Formats: sequence, structure tokens, C-alpha cells
Amino acid sequence: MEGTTKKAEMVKLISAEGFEFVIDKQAAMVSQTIRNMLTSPGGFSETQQGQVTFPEISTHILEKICQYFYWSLQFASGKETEFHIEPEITLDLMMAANYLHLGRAQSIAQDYKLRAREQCGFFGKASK
Amino acid sequence: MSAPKKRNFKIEAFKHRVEIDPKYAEKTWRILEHAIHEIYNHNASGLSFEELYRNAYNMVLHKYGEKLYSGLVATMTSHLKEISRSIEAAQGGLFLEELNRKWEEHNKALQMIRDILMYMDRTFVPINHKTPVHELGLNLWRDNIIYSSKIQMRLLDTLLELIQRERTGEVINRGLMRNITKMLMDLGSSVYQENFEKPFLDVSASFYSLESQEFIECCDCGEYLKKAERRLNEEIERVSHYLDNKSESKITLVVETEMIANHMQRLVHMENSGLVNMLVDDKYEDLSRMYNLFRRVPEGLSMIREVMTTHLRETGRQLVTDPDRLKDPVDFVQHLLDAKDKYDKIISTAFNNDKAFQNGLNSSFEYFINLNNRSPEFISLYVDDKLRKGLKGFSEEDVETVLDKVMMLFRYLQEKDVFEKYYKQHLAKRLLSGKTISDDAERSMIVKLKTECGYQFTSKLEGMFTDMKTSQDTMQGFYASQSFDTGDSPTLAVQVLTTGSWPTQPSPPCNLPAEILGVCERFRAFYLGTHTGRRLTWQTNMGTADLKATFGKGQKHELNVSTYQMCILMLFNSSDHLSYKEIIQATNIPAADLKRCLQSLACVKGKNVLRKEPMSKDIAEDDAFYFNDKFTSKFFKVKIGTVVAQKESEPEKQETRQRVEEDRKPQIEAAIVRIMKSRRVLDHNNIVAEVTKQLQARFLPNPVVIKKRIESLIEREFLERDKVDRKLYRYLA
Repeated sequence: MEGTTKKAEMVKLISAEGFEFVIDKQAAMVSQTIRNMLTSPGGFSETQQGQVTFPEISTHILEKICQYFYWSLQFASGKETEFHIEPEITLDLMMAANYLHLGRAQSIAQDYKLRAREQCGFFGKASK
Repeated sequence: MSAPKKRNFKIEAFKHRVEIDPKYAEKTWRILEHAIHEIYNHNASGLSFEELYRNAYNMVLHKYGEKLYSGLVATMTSHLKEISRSIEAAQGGLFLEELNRKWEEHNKALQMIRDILMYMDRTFVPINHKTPVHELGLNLWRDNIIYSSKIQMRLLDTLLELIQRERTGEVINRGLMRNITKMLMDLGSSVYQENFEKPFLDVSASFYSLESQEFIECCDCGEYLKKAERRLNEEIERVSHYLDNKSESKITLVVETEMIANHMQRLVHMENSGLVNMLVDDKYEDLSRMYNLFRRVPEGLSMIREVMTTHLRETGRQLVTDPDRLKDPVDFVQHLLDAKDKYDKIISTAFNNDKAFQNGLNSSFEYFINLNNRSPEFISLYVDDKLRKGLKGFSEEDVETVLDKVMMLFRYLQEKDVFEKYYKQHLAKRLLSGKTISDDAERSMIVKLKTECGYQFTSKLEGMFTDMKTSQDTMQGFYASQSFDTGDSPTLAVQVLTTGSWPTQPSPPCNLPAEILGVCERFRAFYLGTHTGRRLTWQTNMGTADLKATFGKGQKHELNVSTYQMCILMLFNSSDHLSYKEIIQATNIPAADLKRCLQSLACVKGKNVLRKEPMSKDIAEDDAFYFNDKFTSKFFKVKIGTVVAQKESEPEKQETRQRVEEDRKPQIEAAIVRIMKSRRVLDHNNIVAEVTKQLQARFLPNPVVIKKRIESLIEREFLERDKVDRKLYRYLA
């Protein structure tokens, strides 16, 4: 009994490579897109099975996204820390955030991207 | 998991097919189109949301948004056309249900479609200024279903028919009605108004116009109002159950106009049951209903108010001018008080304590009370009656209530100075004859008059109370100072009255019997001994005396009589028989008073201590009087009727009137001088207006009198006329 209720509160997100991330439904619903997938009234397969497959999101991006979900929940409850993004994934992350309708994640990634570009420019000049 | 991060930094396009398959868009759209069909056919359960969302996302991303959008419009339209046909096919009563069911399905499908096309809604729609998916779905529904030629009229007719059936008492499916009207509201307020509300109001107006005509022919006013109230409540209830809240004011306006405003005149004046009948019969419930209904329509309340005041003035006028009523002043005032109570109660219970109604009531009373110039006298007489005997056994609060009510009437009086005059007379009689039942009540009345009219109004009345008190002290001092034994000589009680405070008429003193005269002289000596420079005049017309008398068979009685009567009776100590002329010579009592005294001594049955010849009701100049040996009474104390406060006779009334007019002159002059002193120059009309304003707390001065006073002041050189403009007056310092 306890198992089923717990299961109901968890959802499974599957990456392009087939990696499965089991996270809290509450966290996943930070994304408006995922929220629609899990709650839309028509009885789509995602709603029934409690799992979503993202054939266009690779594992390491989806992992970052999941981290972002939890960070976002904490941020919303008042714990304002910085969300760190590695420079090499900012672009991919931005694309995924757009897809998943994660406004804040998108703008954070954009910030990182701009910062990375400035640093490149600075280094570029120094090396000249 | 951290292994992939070690890749070198490289800029790489997102993993979309960069090569664009020319058939890509068509293929993707087919998938989505299929999904929309499945959704409308309730087959969505197998579909993958992610896949559909991703396809729509990619279409928009690859600039096929327009194709997606127009495809959506076309697909949805075709589905709605199909739905429209199935609704049209529904038979009779199933029509609304089918419409409702399809509406719910459409809504659900619309939500799902909106969800999977979310990305388009977010990006493509605002940039290209398209209608968002949800709104688009509603618009398409409106155009294809509600505006469909076969549905539009049928829908309206069905709704109106259901409402009509409910009005005639049938039970209808309110839930269904609510869903349908809710649908119309969801499609936009103009859809609701054009396709339902306006025709609904029109139909209602003709319905109620007809019904009210029917009701008014066969119902009386109270019944009609009951029905109108019920209809109004029904409509309000209908709105709360299944119409837009905003419709409430509109439909109530229709009912109010048709059922109330259009028949107001007829209702109010309805024979045997109209407003006047309700007022007369104290129908609080009907009155309250009328008030609540009429206040919803313009002019409604003012109409009730007008009819009420007109009725009140008319009945009031009849009351105060009815010659029968004038015979009993106490009854007269009691009727006024009862009328006031009655209308106060109506206004407080039925008319919501409406200020405008209270004002109407007050102005009506003011109007008719002053129609009768004896009202001030009668009100004073009423108080006199209450303070003499009427309030015996009442609690303090009750006394206060009665006095407060009298003060209400007093406030309506214009000639407050006339009231003062009478009140003073009546109070004097009460005080001097010791008839007042409660000092507290007397003082309370004075305080009320004082708060109402100021110190000036009551200073003399209070002076009267002070005189009574000092007289008591003086008498104690007098008897303490008399060292001799009073023995058989009469006991004297003197009340020393300040001239001016009391409404006394200087009258020549009568000849007192020798026994009394002695005591009087001793008192005079005592009083002037302590108060030098004063003058004492005996008011023999106002005193009373207790006499011990022994009659034929030795029976003893104590006779309570007036001073005049005492003088007359004392004469019979020395002789058994006296003529009228002898009596008037011996006593020197004014003829009118003497006749009245003799009448009460000789002609009242059971109190006839004198016998008159010839026996008749009236006293003639050549009558003779005998001591009545055979007088008997079962009481030891016999009270011979003194002249109590009565309604004044016609000549007395004239006299009082004259004195009042005389008293007003200096007041008017003082007011004129006060005004002119501050204004210096003023024209005639303004003086009259200002004098009237200054004096209206006491009386309503007559403009003619004011003019006379101005002329008198000019004569005495307080004022002068302007040399150029004869209408202007100038103050001469």
C-alpha cells in the first residue's frame, strides 16, 4: 500500500540514451510542459504510466534538468542559492529549457553563455 | 555520469534534423491531425503527449507554424460541423441535453488540444497576432453551433419556453439551464446578451405587463403587492440559480416597471384597500411591503409620502376643527398624542424609520396643530390635568414619557408664547391651591421647557417655585415670632408672590371678616419688619379657607371654600338671612365672582350650605339667601367647588389674546433694534424676514404688526427712513 502511494508521487523521466531518472512528481511539475503531460484530461499514455520519454534530450542534460527542478523548489521556498551551469552545456540546456517551458532555467543558462563568451573574448585579447 | 562532461567545449547545433525533409511538415501535420481526430473521437488514451508536443514544437521551430494553425482551424471546423448536425437532429426535449453534452466534450477536447499545442500558443500566436487556441475553439463553436441557422432560434425559443413554464409553476431542469447560460456567457458577454438576455427581457416585460393588468383587475392593493413581491423574489432567485448575476438588475427593473411603476397611482389610491386604508387600519405588514417595493422605483417613496401627509393633514384638520372635540381639551390633546403615536409606530415598523417620512409627519402636525389657535391653551390644560390628578399612581418613567410626548406637541406650536401664558396661569393655580401631585414632575416639565426654549422662557416659572418655598419659610418665621397663644383665632397661611412672576390680575381686595383682618395685619407688620421697602397687596381672589361649621341638628362639618366664599359664609354668623345686595355691600366682592360663589354655595346638590329664594339655577340681583339648617352630608369634610382651571370662556380668551399681543410688542421692537444696530441700514422686507427668524422659537410674528412696530420706532427716533429710497430704514444711534 505504502509502495503504491509512493509510486504515485514519483515519476520516471527517460533520456534519449534510455537513462531513467525517477524523481518526485512535484519536482517534475516545475516544468509546465511536463505538468501538462502528466495532468491533461484526455488520458494520454504519459498520464497513465507516470513516465515520459524525451528522445531529443541527452542524459547529461536531463540530469542537469532534474537538478534544476529540485533547486527551483528550494529557491521558491526561500533558499536562494546560485544554480551552477558548466559552460559547455549552456546551449543544450537552453534548448531543453525552452522545450520544457522553464523560463528561469533558460535565462540562467543564457547568463552563463554570455559570461563564457566575455571570458573567451578576454582570454583571446590576452593571448594576442 | 560525470564522464560525458569531460568532452571538449564545442559549439554544436541542437540535435534536430538540420536537413529538412520537404515532406517533413506534411508528415508531422498528419500525425497531429490524426491525434485531433482521435481526441474528438475519445480515443486519446493511447497517444503520447510528448510525441505530439514535440511534433508541434518542431513544426513551430521550423517555421511551419502557419500550416499548423490553419490546419487546426480547418480540422476543428469540420468536427464542429459534424457536431452541429448531430445537435440539430436531436428531438424535442433532448435538444438542450445534446447541446450541453457536446459542449462539455468540445471543452474537454479543446483543453487537450491546447495543451499539446502549448508551444504554438506561447510563441507563434503572440508574434503573429493570432487568436489563442482556447479562444479560437470558443469562437469556432459560436460560429458553427450557436450561430447555425437551425440552432440559433431553436435554442432561444427553448430557453424562453422553459422559463415561461417555470413561471407558471412547473419544475424545470435548472442545472441544464445553468450549463447552457454559462456556455453563452463563456462565449462572451455579447453572445449572452444578444442571443438570450435581450429577448428574455422583452418577453418578460410583455408577460408582466399582461399579468399585472390581470392582477390589478381582480386583487385589492395588499394582495397585489404580495403577488408583485413574490414575482420579484422569483426573478431574483432565478438569476441566482441559472442566469448571469448582471441580469439581476435588468430583470428586476422590468418587474418593477411593469408591476409597480406603471400601476403606482392606481395602487395607492385603490378604493377600500389603498394606502389610506392601510394607514387607518394599521396594516404594518402591507405598508412595509409597499414601502419596500415602491422604493425600488423612482418617485415611489415620494408618492407614498405625499399621500400620507395629505391624509394626515386632512384628518388632523378635521380633528382640530371639530367643534365636538373642542369641548374637552384633555380629550382633544389625547387624540393628537394618539395620532402621533400611531404614525410614529407606522414609520418605525413599516417605513424603516425613513427620515423623509418623519419630516413629513412633523410638518403635517405643525400644519394642523396651528390651524386651531386654542391648541397652546389645550396643551397646557392637558398638562394641568395630568399634573393635578391624571398621573397619580404612575411611575416616574411613565410621567416622563407623558411629558416627553407633550413636549413633542409643544415643539409643533408656532405660538409658544401663548402656551407660556396659559402654562403660567395653570401652574399658578396648581401651586396656590396645592393641587400639584408631584413637585418632581413639575420641575421636570420646567426643565424640558427650558432646554427647548431657553432660560428666558422659564425664568418666571421658576420664580413661582421660589416664591412658594420662601413663603413656607416666612410663615414658619411668623409663627415662631408670635409669642401669644393663637388659641381660637384663625390660622393664617400667606403666600408672598413676586409681582411680575405671577399671572395675577390686580383686583381690589374684598372686605375681610374682622377675625381674619387682625391676623393679616399682624403678618403685614411682621413681614415689613423683616423686609423693608416692600409693598404687600392682598389677593383675596385667590385664597382658600377651611371653616368649621355647626348645623341645625348639631352636626359638625369642615367646609373647604375659597376666600370669597369664606367671607360670605362668615356673614351668616351674625344673621340667618341676607339679600344679594346686602352681601355685595358687606363683602365688596366683584359681581361676577360673587355670583359664581353664591351659585356654588346655594345651587349645588349635596353642598348647598345656603338656601336661596326663589329656588332657581341662576343668581339674580334680588335673590335672598338663608343659612341652610337642614344641610347634611355623609362626609365630615365638605369641599365646596372652587373654580378650577377650565377652558377659558370667549371673553377671557379674547383678553388673554390681547395680553399676548401686548407682550409681543416689546419683543418685536427689541428684535428690530438688535438687527438694526448690527446692520445699520436695511430694507423693509429683510427686516421682516430677520425678525421672523429671530422670534420663531417663541411665536410667528405678523408682518403687519412688525410694520406697526417699525413705525412706532421711527416715531420715537430709533430709526429713520432713507431720504432717497423710502423702503430703506436707517438706525439712529
